[in-house]
Amino acid sequence: MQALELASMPLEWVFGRGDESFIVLSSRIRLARNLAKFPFPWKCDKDSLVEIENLILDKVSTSYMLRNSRALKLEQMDKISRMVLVENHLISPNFAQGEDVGRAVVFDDRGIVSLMLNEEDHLRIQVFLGGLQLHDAWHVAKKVDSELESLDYAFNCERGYLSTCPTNTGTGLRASVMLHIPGIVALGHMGQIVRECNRVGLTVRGMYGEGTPPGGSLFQISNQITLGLAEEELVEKVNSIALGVVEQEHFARERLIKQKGIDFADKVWRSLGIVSCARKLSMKEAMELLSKVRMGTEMKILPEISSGELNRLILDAQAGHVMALSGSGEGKGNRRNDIRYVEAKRAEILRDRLFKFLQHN
Amino acid sequence: MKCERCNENEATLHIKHMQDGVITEYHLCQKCAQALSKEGIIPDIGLNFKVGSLLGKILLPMGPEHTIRKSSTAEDETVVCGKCGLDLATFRKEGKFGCAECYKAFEKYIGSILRNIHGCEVHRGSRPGATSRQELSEDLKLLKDQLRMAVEREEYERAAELRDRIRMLEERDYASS
Repeated sequence: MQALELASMPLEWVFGRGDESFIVLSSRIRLARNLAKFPFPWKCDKDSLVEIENLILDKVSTSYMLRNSRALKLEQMDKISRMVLVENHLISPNFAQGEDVGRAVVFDDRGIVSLMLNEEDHLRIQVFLGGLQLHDAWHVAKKVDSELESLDYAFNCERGYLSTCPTNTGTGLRASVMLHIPGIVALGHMGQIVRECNRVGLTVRGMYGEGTPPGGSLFQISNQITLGLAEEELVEKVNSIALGVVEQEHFARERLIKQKGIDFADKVWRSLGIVSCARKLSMKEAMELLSKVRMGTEMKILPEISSGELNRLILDAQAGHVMALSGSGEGKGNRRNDIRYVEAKRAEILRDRLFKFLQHN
Repeated sequence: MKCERCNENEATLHIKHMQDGVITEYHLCQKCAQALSKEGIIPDIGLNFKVGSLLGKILLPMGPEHTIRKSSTAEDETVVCGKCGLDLATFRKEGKFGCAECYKAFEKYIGSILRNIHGCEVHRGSRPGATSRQELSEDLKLLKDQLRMAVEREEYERAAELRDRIRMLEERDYASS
């Protein structure tokens, strides 16, 4: 029940309301914060972790920004609910897999602001918006941060906010955008983008962050360093590079059309055909097909499908969402956890929503 | 199947190694596979790579002429944070501080670590609390002390960063007055 509810919750970023929302799926700001009084989570005993959790949850109950939020303790969540929360970008994969004690997630009713308690740091504040809205996301994060800072953060004026990992020291800020750039990938320019990003201190990663493989031409670009620049400067750096990549993606698509013409149109139509008719789809194949469909509809080769609908499809095709939406339970011997069952259900979910677009042909 | 080397643990890695047309099979536990891979008997298939191991490389102390030393020094084990008990050697290995006090306990070493990661060592972003004038002047006093010490120690890069930071705060102070 919990998993289904979480898989069906409306998420602001999914609506695709920001700028360039076909290419930029989402903008995210994350702040790492610790409480001065306690050792960092990996050095805390269980009692302290619970004490920290309670202190933060008490503070959250007084927050205006989080007035419509709910808190879920990790220990009360089953595996599928955790998967769904990772896919919704409300918790990190590491958080879902680690120790349960003292770990909780807080998020508002639209999934804009979320907090992870006792992940690598005591508190991770995250703001997630659709399209390219990094500066707006930073303003929201700043407000939430200032409401919670009376928790007495670990801070020193020379080093800034003190974090568990020295890679987050200083601002504790990570700004990232998720980009859908199949044109750049198809032209073989991805390596160049990665090199250029690295040169200006940005990192390129797969869809779910650290250590995850890219799927469906989705990449995350984020700032590597957190110290020595003010927050606005870090945010603007990622913002301007994202705009540059968007421009290059448009350019790449024009070239693809010019070079490949009918072959290109054939490819995107076939993708829509397969995804609307298949009886079984692996995650990888689904992501690749949805990527082509997304590109095709944006380039007006395919019938119009909104970026919001496409974002929802990407999300609902993820394993946790498929299991939650099709009522899979946990437990051995449950055939609903069978990979073929999940692949069949994934195909069914996508078919139901996309078949109608074939008839516009 | 038991590991063919230690005969104790379960063999979790089954490696086929082909060299000069001859295929050799190994059935090993993780630990033995790591040991054999270190000895060069089986090829390096990334067994010794662990997250954080790359970070560890830049957390190592700088040797003469800024060459990176291969391992922590004995001295590292004697530098211990009084609050959480973490020693510098463990910090370099794990890539994690134990608590906020570690930043003070390892003060002498942190500058070069942060510079390796971020290219600088002084925070220029926001601070908690509305920047009251009293807090600002406390920050300024502290930063000026740090600047004086940096100049005395001839740490000029750090001194330049501190000077920029001081200027920034002074401008903010001036603007709010």
